[in-house]
Order: sequence, then structure tokens, then C-alpha cells
Amino acid sequence: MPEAESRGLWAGLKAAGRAIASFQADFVLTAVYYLALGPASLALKLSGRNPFGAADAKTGWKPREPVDPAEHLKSQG
Amino acid sequence: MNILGLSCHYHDSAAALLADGELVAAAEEERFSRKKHDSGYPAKAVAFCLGKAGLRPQDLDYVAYYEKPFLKFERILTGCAATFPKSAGLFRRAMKSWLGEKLWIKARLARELGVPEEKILFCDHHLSHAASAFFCSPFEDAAVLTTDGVGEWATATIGKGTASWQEGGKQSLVLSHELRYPHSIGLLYSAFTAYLGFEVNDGEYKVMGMAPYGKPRFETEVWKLVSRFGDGSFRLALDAFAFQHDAERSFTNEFEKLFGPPRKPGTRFVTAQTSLYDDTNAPGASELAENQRFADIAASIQAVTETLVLEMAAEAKRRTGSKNLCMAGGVALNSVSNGRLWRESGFERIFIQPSAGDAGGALGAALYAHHALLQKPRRHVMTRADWGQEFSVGQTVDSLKSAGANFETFDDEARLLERAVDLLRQGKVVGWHQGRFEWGPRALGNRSIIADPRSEKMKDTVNIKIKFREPFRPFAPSVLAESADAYFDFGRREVPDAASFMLMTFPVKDKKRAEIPAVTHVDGSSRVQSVGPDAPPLYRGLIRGFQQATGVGLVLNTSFNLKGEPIVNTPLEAFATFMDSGMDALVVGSCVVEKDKLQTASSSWRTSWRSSQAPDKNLVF
Ligand SMILES: [Fe+2]
Repeated sequence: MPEAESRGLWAGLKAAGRAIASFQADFVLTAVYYLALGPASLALKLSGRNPFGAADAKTGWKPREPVDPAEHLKSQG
Repeated sequence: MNILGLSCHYHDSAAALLADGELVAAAEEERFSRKKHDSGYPAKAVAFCLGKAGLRPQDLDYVAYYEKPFLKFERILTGCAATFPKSAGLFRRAMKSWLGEKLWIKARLARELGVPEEKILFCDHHLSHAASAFFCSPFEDAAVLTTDGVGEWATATIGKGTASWQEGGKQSLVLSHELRYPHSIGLLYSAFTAYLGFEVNDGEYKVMGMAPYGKPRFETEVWKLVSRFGDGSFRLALDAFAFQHDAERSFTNEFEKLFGPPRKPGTRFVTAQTSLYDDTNAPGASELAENQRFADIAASIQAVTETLVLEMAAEAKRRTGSKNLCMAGGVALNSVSNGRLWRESGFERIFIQPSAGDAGGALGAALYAHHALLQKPRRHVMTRADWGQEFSVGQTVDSLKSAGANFETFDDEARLLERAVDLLRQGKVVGWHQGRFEWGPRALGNRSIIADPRSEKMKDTVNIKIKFREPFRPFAPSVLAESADAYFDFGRREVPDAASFMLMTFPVKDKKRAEIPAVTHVDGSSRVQSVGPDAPPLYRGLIRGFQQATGVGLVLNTSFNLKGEPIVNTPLEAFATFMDSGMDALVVGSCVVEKDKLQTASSSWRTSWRSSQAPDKNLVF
């Protein structure tokens, strides 16, 4: 097979592989979304907690816990 | 003690290096990769910073990352759960990028730099912003206000810094309160940026530039989106916004019901006051009316933003009792609200980090580690912004020769300045490339395009023929600090610290407006850069020379780039940009290139060079 054609074929295979991988990832992530976040969302609603702030709040300011710089900087979360 | 600060994986990645508390180098990755707002791992900026300090990665004592990835991930998951089932698309997109790279940032940094994971620190996003402002300020005590789109959960914080230059003095920066996602000034402003047809995280300046063409007649409607608590905090009416569940859209139909159909990206913006330049297609009444509506909406969101920022600053003042204010976060780049803060907030002094956006977080994280963790005394006040790469005379000359340019070299600085002033007086537009490139989004006289501010037509010329951008965009002046008061109304006797970094907008004095039309916006305002004794001496010398020649102590200064491109770094990039635009002359180091004296070799060089420079190719020699 001439070099240009085999290069084209390889590029096509790679693009197809990417498309399949992306489709699979979308499929799996959609399943995770409905199976995991659906119940999590329901639990959030049942708990009455609004992560975006209570509608009847008197202020938008939230106090921040004082941090120990050494502990603070070690943690990723 | 060597600390490398890093920010990446959102937008505007950057690196900054502290050696024993002194800032050695700081740079955004986009200047090297040539990819605007490059958000990838800043490999080239890191290499530059280490090279500048003569260090190897193993010489680093700490690497400080500018935010907490796990907290941010938690916020995204919680947000998706709270907006279920509308957030499926956002969830898929976020998970791909988070599971693909962002969650493993610690291992990635350790691998890229070859440092042990124990050396890698994580500083909260707003604490990084706060540290970038406070520990660069000249204050021992200050209120701190940070405002942006969102970090981990916080969208704004207020707090207080106390720090000392003395050995053994206490170094403390405490953010006591925060406003939380999705209630955010930055996200509110970005929703309007998208509505007005501009790119989010890039077009916010354009909204600010558009606002003076309008009247805030939609302010009541904007306030319907924002409920204030009377203490500087607020809630957004979330029904009108989509950013919390949609990766593509910022606003909903509820939003459109208030303001009408959005502006189509790329359509021309023309009102009765904007210039048409050489566009022969005169606008009809309906186009004018439609665009006036957009200008009025821009004016309205700008007015609301100013009020919100003023109220937050008042709260910071009330809680801290400090007479000084430090600010950072993307909203701190809103120079119009900053100007109002200077005039109206009651703070005696205000310092704003010149790289107030997320790039600046790299420096803030490193500074926080140095001062708060190690309790080291302060060594650094940021009085200038040139912390990037520079080029020697030899490199510059070689670059120009390689491009086939014929140029004149001036060994004597006074003669170089004389030549540059002469060019400006002749109405020439001059590319000005000197020293180290600037830290932050503003060109402050090291990678600038400069011109005579007295010319009525200069604004159109530079917008259309030089930068190929929209004719409504304003230009800023660089003014000698000692002359600033003669031209601009600061509302107070002193010139603010933040004006050194072109971060505040002020009215041009009535009697001066006709004298400097190219840098006077349609509402009579101007985003002033005050050039004082701390500024690069050559740039000060240039403006002084222009003043001696013309009686006007300021020049028009805009960033040395074309629309959509990062500001130039190397002399070759400067030359290519010069060749691609209508600039008349280029002063790069001690060399002067004039377009009308160039030979054809340079034109053919330009074509081949440009085609070889796709973003991310290594342009640094
Ligand atoms: Fe930020």
C-alpha cells in the first residue's frame, strides 16, 4: 500500500477509535449520572438542604473556619 | 528557600518563582505557547522561571498550587446533583476533564517537575488571590476583598492581612467570610458578556468598553436578578441563569424575557456615537436602535457591578476597620468599578494585584506558603509588573537579521528616545518592545503599541488598521505620574497605587478632553496608567521626551498584539506582528525598524514564518 494511503487509513482508524471511545465514555457517564446523581439529588431534596444557599437566609456571607496554614496547605480538599 | 507557584487547568495558566521571599520571575504560559488563555500545565513558564533563577526543579523547597482540586470537584458534583436532571451534559463534560487529568494534579506536578509529592502544597483559590494582593502590597495592615467567577465554592471573600518586614514579626492573612457559588458577581457579569455576544472569560473588557455608549436604563431589570442583603452580600435569581447546569449557556429564557433577544456574536456594534471608520454601509434606524439597547444593557450591568463592589468594599471596611484595601480576583480587573472605589469607598489606599485573574493565583499561593506557613518576613512590594522574559541586544539583532529586516541601531539611549519621539510626533504608530514582558493582562510599556494621543483619528487607526479590532474599543494613556493630575480627575489629591498598573478608570478633565481625544472614551473617561519613578526608566524617558517635544505628558498605550493573539514575547514575534499590522515603526531594544524603509525580503520572511508558527510551537530561542 502506498505510504500516503496507509497514513490516511491510520488517521481514519485513530479518528474512529476516538469516536468509539468518546461514545463509550458518554454512555458510561450518562449511566453514572442517572444511577448515582439521581439518588444523590433525591437525598439532597429530602434532606431539605439547598447547596446553593437557603432561600430564607438573612445574609449571603458564610463565616470561614480559621485555618492552620500547615494543615491547610497539605490538603487537596 | 525557593517556592514555585503554579496555576493551571482552568484558564490562564502561569508560574511564579520566589527565592527567599523575593519575586524572581512570573509569567503566563500563553506568552510562550502563543495560545491565548492557555490553561494547560505551564511547562514553558516553569522552565523560564527556573532558568531565570538559575535553579533546577530539585532546588525547589515547595511547589504551591493555587487551589484545592478536591473541593472544586465536590462543588461540581454537588452542583450537578442540585440541578439534576438538567445537568447531564455538564456532568459528562466535567467528568471527562476531571477524571482525565484534574483530579491527579498532585501526581502530575510531581512527575512533571521531578519533585517528591510532600513538597506540593495546595492553597485555597481565594486565599491565593488574597495573598497575591496583600503580600505584594506596601501595607502592614489591610482589608482584603477578592471577587471572581468562582474558585472552589467561594465567589468572593473578605478578610484582613497583617504582616511585617521585621524578622520575627507576625505574618497573618485570614479570610473571615465568603460568598458562595452560584451567587457570584463574576458569573453575573459573564452571563451578560455571553448575552452581548462576547466570549466568556475574554470579552468582559468589551462589555466594559461598550457600557459608556449606553445609559443604564435596564438597571431595574438587572436588579431583578440580584437580591441584596444590605451587607454587601446577595443572591442571584437562579431561574434566569443556566451556567449552574449547562456548559454551553450562561442564561435562560427568563433572562431573555427581561432583556430581549441576545446579540449575535460577530455582528457589528454601531450606535449614533460609535465610529464607522471606513465602513461605507451606513446603519439603518432599526440597527441603531438594536445596538443602543445592547449598549444600554452593558451600561446597566456595569452600574450594578459597581454598586455591588462598592457595597462589598464597605462591608470589608466595616468588618476590619482598616484604612487600606487589597484586591484581587477577576472582578478586580474591572477598572471602572475600581475607579469608583478610589473615589467613593473611603479607603485611604488601595492596592490591586496587576495579575488579578487566576494567573495571579500562582504568585499568591507561593507568597502564602512563604509568609503564612514559614512565617518569613516580607521582602517584596510589587511596584512594577515586568517579571517576564527579556532579550539581549545580541539576540534582538540576530532575530531582526534572520528576518531580513534592515534596521538602525542606537547605542545611545538619548538618541533612541529622540528617534522614537520623532516618530510619534509624525503621527506614526510605534511598536515598543523593551526589557521583560509584563505580569498580568496589561501592557505597561515593555510590550506596547504606542501613538500620539492628540490625534482625533488615532483611535480608529489603531483599532482598525493596527489591531484589527472593533472600532468602539477605547485606548488607555500612559501618563507621567507628576503630570497625571493635570489631565485626570482622581477625585482626591493623590494618584492611586493601582494606577501604576492601569487598573482604574477616571474622568479626563473637561478642559483636556479635546487635547487628548485618542485616549478619551466616549463618556470622557480614561483607564490611566500612571508612570512614576518605579516604572521602567526607558519608558518614562520616552513619555518625558514626548512631553518636552509636544507639551503633552502622555502617550497612547495599547498591548502589543493583534486581536485574538497573546501579547508578543520575543523580538521575532514583535517583528512578525509589526509586519502583519499597519504599524509604522518598531523599536525593539536599541533597534529601530521603519516599515517604509524595509526591503521585500522581510515580506517573504513574514509569510513563511507565520505559516510555521502554529500555537504551541516553541518560539523562544
Ligand atoms: Fe479566580
